[in-house]
Amino acid sequence: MGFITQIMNGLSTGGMYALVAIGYTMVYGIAKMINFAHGEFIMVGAYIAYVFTTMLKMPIFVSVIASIIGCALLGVITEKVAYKPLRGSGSLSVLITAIGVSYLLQNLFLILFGSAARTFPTYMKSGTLNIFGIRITYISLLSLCLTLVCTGILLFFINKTRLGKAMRAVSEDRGAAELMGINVNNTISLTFAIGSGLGAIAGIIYGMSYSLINPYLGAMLGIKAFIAAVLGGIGNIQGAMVGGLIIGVAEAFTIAYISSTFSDAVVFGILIFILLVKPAGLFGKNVREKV
Amino acid sequence: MNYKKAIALVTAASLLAGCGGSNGSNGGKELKEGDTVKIGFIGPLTGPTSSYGIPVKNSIELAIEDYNNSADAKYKIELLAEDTQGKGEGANTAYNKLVGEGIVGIVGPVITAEGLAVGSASERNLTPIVSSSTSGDSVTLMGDKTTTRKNYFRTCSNDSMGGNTIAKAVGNGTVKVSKVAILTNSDSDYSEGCTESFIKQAQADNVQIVVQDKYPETQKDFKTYIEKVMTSGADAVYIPDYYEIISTMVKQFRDAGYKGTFLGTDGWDGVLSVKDVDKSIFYDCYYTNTFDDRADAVVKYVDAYKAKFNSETNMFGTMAYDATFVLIKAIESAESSDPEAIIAALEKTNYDGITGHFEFDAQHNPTKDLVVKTIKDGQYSYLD
Repeated sequence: MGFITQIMNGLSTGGMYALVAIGYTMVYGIAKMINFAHGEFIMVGAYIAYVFTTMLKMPIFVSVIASIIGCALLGVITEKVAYKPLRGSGSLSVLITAIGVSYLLQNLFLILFGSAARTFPTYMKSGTLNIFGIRITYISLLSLCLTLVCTGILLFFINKTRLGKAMRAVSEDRGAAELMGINVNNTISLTFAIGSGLGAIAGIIYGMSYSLINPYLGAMLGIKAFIAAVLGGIGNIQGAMVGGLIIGVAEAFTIAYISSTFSDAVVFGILIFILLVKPAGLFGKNVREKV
Repeated sequence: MNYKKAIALVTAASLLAGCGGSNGSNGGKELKEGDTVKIGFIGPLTGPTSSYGIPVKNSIELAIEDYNNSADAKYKIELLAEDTQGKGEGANTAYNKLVGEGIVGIVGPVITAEGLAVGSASERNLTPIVSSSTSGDSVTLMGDKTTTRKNYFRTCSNDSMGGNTIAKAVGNGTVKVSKVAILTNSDSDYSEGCTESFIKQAQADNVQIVVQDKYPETQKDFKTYIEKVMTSGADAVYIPDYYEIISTMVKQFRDAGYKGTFLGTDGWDGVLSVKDVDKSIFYDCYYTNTFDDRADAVVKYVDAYKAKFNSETNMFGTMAYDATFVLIKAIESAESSDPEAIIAALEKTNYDGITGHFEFDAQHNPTKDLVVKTIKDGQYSYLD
């Protein structure tokens, strides 16, 4: 039963990667940029929840909502202030700006909260579910369920609503969408808001699972989720989810059955492999460049 | 062309640095009562390890203040502190800057990586160094790992002592466990060193080791490791690492339903002071420590620290308070800023600090015995 437990372990970690990866992928799909500050948005989300629950003694529900709204606002503001002025200039400048934003946020929180880790409040009963010898912690279960539910809602939103349609249109051809009367600026803002809001949820899951948060928590998580997004085909939401789960399981299996020292190597190896073999990712479309 | 220029510049710079250093070390002069003596601190004041460095710097300030205000103070001590960001390169820059500013000795560095980085340069200049936390066995040794570095002393235990002491406690039945799992931080010299010494002693005592695994520093998710440990039937887990990572690991172990014992080393100390930590998960934990913090002097220091800096100190800070006095006392008995005289005085250290009695052995480690501390019902306690 150890084997199945390890799969579940991998899936629950993968669920968190997936939530973050969806944020990367949505922003890429619509704004055509890789928001390397996304990992830091997750950190901010975790800290907002911490501040509301532990420092302001607010109920859990209020803290979670505050965290999601706070992160969404942060995403929108970052886009308006840092990325929008660069729209139209080379992708390299945007990329460097994103890295700059990431350092800015990291160091801002370092100044505000110090480098010492804070303990994240307990939002739910800790413990494990034991089904036929398969051990799953409640938090793992929650993390997996939240990922599935969020992805479901998101897919519904994008495929069935007017706003979702606008997003798809902007993603396909920004100029044409604008000509058809779609407000491109608002659509991009909305994308950042949703992506960052999902990041906040990932941040809260992170805090609940590992109990400690520090200003650096987004860095590695962000990188792994980025790999998940590339693996699934960047720009594709189902792909990001599947990619996240695959990365999570691959990591768990490497630690469990090969060697824990290789776990990061395997994850980065997957990135190299996918870039060599199928650069568009598992679910990615091969878009022909029109000349 | 540019390349050559760069090399020339680097060579020139290193020559200059070398000059500054040797001038400093030869410029020892006799000290008269009331003279101002500059001592340095290098350690992480920013960056991810600053939670270790800041209490050390504050405690040195506190110790210097206490010394300067005491009636029998011979000199006026002044502190020059430099940030390393917890990096080896940062430590070198900080060290060279302090030497240029004419310090006679250093309290610090804080992290083993910093200690290894400044090791050979400081020996060339013979800068007296008293570190209260660089526990890596090799820090006080030369490249050959056997000869002692002339100028480098430490007041904390080294990694061998930590792993050895806790393994003995298991071997002789003080801590009653039968199957031990070991988890080691593969990116930490400290963790590796403590693991090695633990295994050596455990094998001598026929303690059964059922799992031996390593995790990278960046690992946050331990579910997979926990599953391995739990299926192995281990009734104790030995994790030699620092308190922040420990608090998340213990939490995940307890969440997963593990009810067994935890074993650790002095890095554990402070685990109950992690901000808002859930204390109920800490039971049946045993780890080594260099001092007994129930001592009146330690309690007095902790209160004074809180009053002055309005924050909590930790074991790094407590150890640094004593290390500062060890260096000051050596300068006092050398009556000179000559590094060789101070080093000779350090070798003869015989000082009663707040954390115990200090003398150095041939490898410049303290001769203190370690104590085994336990955590019961979320409270520190001792095995007496």
